[in-house]
Amino acid sequence: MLRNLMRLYRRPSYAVSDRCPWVCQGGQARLSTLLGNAKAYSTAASERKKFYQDVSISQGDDGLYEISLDRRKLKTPGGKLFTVPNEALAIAVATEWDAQKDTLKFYSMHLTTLCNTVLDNPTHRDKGQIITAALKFLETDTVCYRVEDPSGMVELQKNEWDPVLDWIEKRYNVVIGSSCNIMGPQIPEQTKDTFRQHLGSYNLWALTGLEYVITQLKSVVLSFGLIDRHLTVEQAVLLSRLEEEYQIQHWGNVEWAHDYDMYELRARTAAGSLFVHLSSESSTVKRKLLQD
Amino acid sequence: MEFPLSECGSVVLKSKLCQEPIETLGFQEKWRRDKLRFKMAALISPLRVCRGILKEIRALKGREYKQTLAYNYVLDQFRKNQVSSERYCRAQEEALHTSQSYLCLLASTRLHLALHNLYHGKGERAPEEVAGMVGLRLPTQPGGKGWEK
Repeated sequence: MLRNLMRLYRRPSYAVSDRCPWVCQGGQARLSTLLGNAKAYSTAASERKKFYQDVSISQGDDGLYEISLDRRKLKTPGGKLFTVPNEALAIAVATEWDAQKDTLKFYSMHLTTLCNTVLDNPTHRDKGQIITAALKFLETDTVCYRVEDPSGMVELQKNEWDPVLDWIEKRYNVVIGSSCNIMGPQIPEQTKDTFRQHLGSYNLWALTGLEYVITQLKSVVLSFGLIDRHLTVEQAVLLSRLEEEYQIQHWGNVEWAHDYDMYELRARTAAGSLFVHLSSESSTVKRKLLQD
Repeated sequence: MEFPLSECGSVVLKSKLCQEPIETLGFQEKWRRDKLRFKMAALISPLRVCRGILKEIRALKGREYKQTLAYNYVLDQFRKNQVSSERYCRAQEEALHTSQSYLCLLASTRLHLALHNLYHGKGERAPEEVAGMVGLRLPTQPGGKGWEK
């Protein structure tokens, strides 16, 4: 039975490299490399029949929470026991498994994917490497690149992006700036050091989630705004897709492309943000003393 | 700028909030109206978030949604975070933000899956169907002109 379960999870889903593992089988390899992203969504490849009825959580001896599917413990694609550090995250993951109807749609289980990534660490990176990878996005940050041409777009970028830039510059006491040049703004080394130091205070779980949010939004500034609770997920996604929204206003909205992308981006960003918040919070309960 | 999108049957041309045709409003004005929706998203009340999440759980689980782990946990958390006075409470704001993210995750995943099933979940479409999606029709006769003879 355990072996069966293992085989089921041998089809891994990771946040970082969730496109490669299952595409290298037999004659499909070439086609799927070409299709890339589309392959991950082809229904046959990423769905499995649902093989359980009940989903429950339990707390292990070490204080970590585990997920059980019909009394069988959930495992990661790498074969480790699936454990998460707190109850809220465990319940959110259990809900994802519980929500699956007839087939398991792994591409809709973002929190499970993120947990798998942290537990298995398929890219074998340490904290320093993740921070460096995340901060690389600062050099090409979405909100730092401005257009010069249609005047409506120029005004829009100024009105919407400048407040967030101002906010982050004040909040972290750094200089970022924006540019119309293809080379982007010159970001001082001191700014990067400040952010690197700040990111160093997060644990591996939160960092993985944060890097995921940054790669989704293509912006360090917006991700920090979201994680520091200055922006909501909807606002951050809107600001990240500002140019697309502008084009939609002119040319109309195409449901199967624009809305489809937007909801996916929202779901992924929300999952990442939730993951960071849930795995970095320490909940303490302080009770009021009863007065006599 | 004149692009006959609105004539195509299945292309959804809508300004996200307002029902008025796109051409009647200036761009900045439209943008401000649209932004209102996102601004409001920032000020959404805890009760609405709570009900929103419970509604999503219900959409996922159907009738027995009250027996799920998530239902009880969410209700419990919202009850715990109620405060009796109007004092500024940072923990409560943090909890509200987190719960809003969760609501967004559940709603977006549901809508994304719905769109996925509607448009992308069926594999390749027939040429006629693809043409129909952008409001076109394939010629009925393969030979093209001259069919009327």
